[in-house]
Amino acid sequence: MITKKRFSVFDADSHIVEPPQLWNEYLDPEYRTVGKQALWREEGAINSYLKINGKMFRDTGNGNIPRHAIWRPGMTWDSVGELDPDTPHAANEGSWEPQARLRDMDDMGVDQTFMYPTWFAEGFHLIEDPDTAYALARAYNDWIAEFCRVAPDRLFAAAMVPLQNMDFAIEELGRVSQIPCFRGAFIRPMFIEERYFTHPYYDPLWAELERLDITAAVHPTPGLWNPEWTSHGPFCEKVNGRLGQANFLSGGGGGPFAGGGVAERSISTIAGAGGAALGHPIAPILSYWLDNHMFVASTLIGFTVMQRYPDMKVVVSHGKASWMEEVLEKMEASTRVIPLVHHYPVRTDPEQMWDEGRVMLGFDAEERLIQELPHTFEAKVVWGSRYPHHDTTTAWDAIQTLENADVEEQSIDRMMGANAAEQFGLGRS
Amino acid sequence: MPIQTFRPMTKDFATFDCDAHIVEPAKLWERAESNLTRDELESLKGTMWYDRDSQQLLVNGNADVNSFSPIPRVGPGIIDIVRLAGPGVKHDIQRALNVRNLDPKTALTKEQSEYLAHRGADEPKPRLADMDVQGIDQVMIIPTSIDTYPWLQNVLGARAMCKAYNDWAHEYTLEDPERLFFAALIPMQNPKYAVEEVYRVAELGCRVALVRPVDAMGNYPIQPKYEPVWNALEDTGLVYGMHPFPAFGVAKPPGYSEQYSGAELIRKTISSSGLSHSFLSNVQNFQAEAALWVTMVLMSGFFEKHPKIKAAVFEASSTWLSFLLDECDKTYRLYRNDRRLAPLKRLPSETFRQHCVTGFEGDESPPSRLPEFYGDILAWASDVYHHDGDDAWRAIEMMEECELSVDYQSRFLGSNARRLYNIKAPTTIIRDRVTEIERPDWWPTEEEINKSLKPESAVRR
Repeated sequence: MITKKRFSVFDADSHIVEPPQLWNEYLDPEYRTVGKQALWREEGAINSYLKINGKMFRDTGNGNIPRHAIWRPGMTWDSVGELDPDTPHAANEGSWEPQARLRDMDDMGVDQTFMYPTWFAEGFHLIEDPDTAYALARAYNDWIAEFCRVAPDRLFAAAMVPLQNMDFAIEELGRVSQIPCFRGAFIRPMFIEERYFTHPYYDPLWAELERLDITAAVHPTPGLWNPEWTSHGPFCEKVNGRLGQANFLSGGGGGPFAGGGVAERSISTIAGAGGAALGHPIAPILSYWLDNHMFVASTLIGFTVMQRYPDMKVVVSHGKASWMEEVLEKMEASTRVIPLVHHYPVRTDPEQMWDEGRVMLGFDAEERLIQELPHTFEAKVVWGSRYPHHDTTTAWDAIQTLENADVEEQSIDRMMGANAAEQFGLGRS
Repeated sequence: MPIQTFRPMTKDFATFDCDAHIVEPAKLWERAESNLTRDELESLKGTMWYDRDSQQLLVNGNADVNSFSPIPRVGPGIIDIVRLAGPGVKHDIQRALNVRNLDPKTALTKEQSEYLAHRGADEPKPRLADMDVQGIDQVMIIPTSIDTYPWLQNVLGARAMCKAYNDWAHEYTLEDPERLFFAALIPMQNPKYAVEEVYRVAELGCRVALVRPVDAMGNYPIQPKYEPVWNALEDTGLVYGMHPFPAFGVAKPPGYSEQYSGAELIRKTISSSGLSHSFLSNVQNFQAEAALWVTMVLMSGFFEKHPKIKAAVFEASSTWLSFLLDECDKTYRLYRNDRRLAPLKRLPSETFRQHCVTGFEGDESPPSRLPEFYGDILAWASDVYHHDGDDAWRAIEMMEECELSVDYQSRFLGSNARRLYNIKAPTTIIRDRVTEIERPDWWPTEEEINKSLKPESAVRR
């Protein structure tokens, strides 16, 4: 295992976990009641859930292992897998306490980090009341700004932007643009109010991000606490629920008793809620890259956001990067073979546009296509640890993996640090 | 007469096109009238029927919900996109034709439209002639109305439709049994009927049973009720043919609002945008369905329960597989103690390699950059005659650009699929590319093609 490096590492994808004091201390007093109604994470001894718009979305996984924040330095994927599922395990305090986090960063070989939310990522965009969303955005941003002030040259964050009302969103973007730690605006690639980011409603957002030179920090979630039709995760979990589903009434076959409901509601489910038969969710395997893939293909390329806002910087995190070449090839073919119905010009050279653009994708060092073709990807990818998720990778591990694949140090430097520092408008630490 | 020319190329191996399409033709229903029993015919009429008088395909009694016509859809300004990608109808040429259709003054005439609707999509003889030009030695034909079959409401009608299709497709392949093979439709609406059809088509020499990985009416093909179907596949040796498709959802019953496919989300990015657009039809739809199915079968231990089943993952590209298998392995390790099902005997990636082959098309280059990873699990597909299809020569060109050895080319383009299906190579191999095709006067010129590729040329006003 390597223990030395000659470049600084910028972790472009780590997470905080929002503590209760964000609501109790940072939310405007007049919004504390409605704010907890709109979005709240309950961590109980027996029951844990995420509340969105007053509706409870229960945890379906094993509450003894808080997988969103279980990792600590020294843990491996295998040691996480070997944790006793019947014993409660504590979350890593580095997910809400900056000094603990900095110690972990030192251990991981991470010089600087860009932090995304956890519960706000899962629920914030779904909040229906725009005023409450705006208040919660301010609270989140104020809390994490204070978090970052502990080490202003190492800790950076994505700002929460109340997209529910674009006027509010623009106002908040203007405010956070004056606060040094904010180097990106959080965007979860999902359907909001039944619409996607392909809708012209979002054009002012792209324009403002471009004008303020704030990076669009796109990050998906598994959607385990979300309703269907919002992103890929909920459907994956519905299908996961089919695994344990047997039909007692019909003996199989189509029709009303075939199980045409969400798994939890099915009258004929043997093992209960989604994932129960398997014992764990499958959405984390699929939803991150499918959600990112869809955002890039539809919003940035298909609906020409990248073409119309060429100076907007975008980082699309936590969803692999190997799929990009295939997206570009398919989009190129599509501009030729699909009957033309659009009312605006669409470039037919997506590979050229991608080369010229300012979009970068989060990658994992294990991605074999990137190991094989580092020069194809080295200008377009940023590394992320996913700290403190259960599948966290340290910088040391990632560098070692890339070195083992004979990737040149100069390329590793760009992929592990320089690209992200540049994309987030920072110098090297 | 203009001559369309192609770079001379040769090959010394037989290609196997593991996923090309026919379009279910009117003849299928004509034939059914004399070959199905009276009960079967009656149920078929109420389920999926081509009405000659109105020239409409009726699905569940509703008119024309399926846009893929049993007779070529031709006329002024019309391109039948599922009968289009015949020899030499390259993507750039299609762009020029699509641009012409934006202006009534330049739109295709009925005769031009007819010229582009290739008869090989419906009939075997012209298909074999097209295959000779396209460098396709052998082909597995697959139907087109894939988004319709899971929604056939009458179980007896679904069974009759599968029988009618499979018998017609079998006859189609008899034109040249050494080169033409068919994948069977299976009535997954009812496991018992599905089992019966598996055994019936196996008797006909069929090698593949098609199953769409969607949750139509809650029937995702991972439910325990389908165990007898998987047992039948093991018993007969039929390959599990997993074929995804864009999820148009037009045959959903009224009021059914639940999601049945991940592909619906990409449709929704279009439908909810308020802007006309359709470029995303071929992007992600297939991957979303295929990746979920691959994940489910690998993580659940499906192949350990059914060790004799082989599977083909069709038309979904394969670049994503290079990281998805690693993600499955990682997840298995991370959840080892949380898993409620029996421990897996081997890692998901190892299981995939033992049981599955995955398809790719000629414009997908990443798999050719990773030959050691894809060595025995990759099989080429033309997708002909669907509009995004292309010939074997295009795939070879791409592989040559990637500097892929001829050994790997022959595996990806032929021998991997033949091994999966247990099919011998044909006695005669297409070795030389046809370098000239005579075209009508209206065929797009190079200048027109280049002009049509400009973004501004394609704006509907």
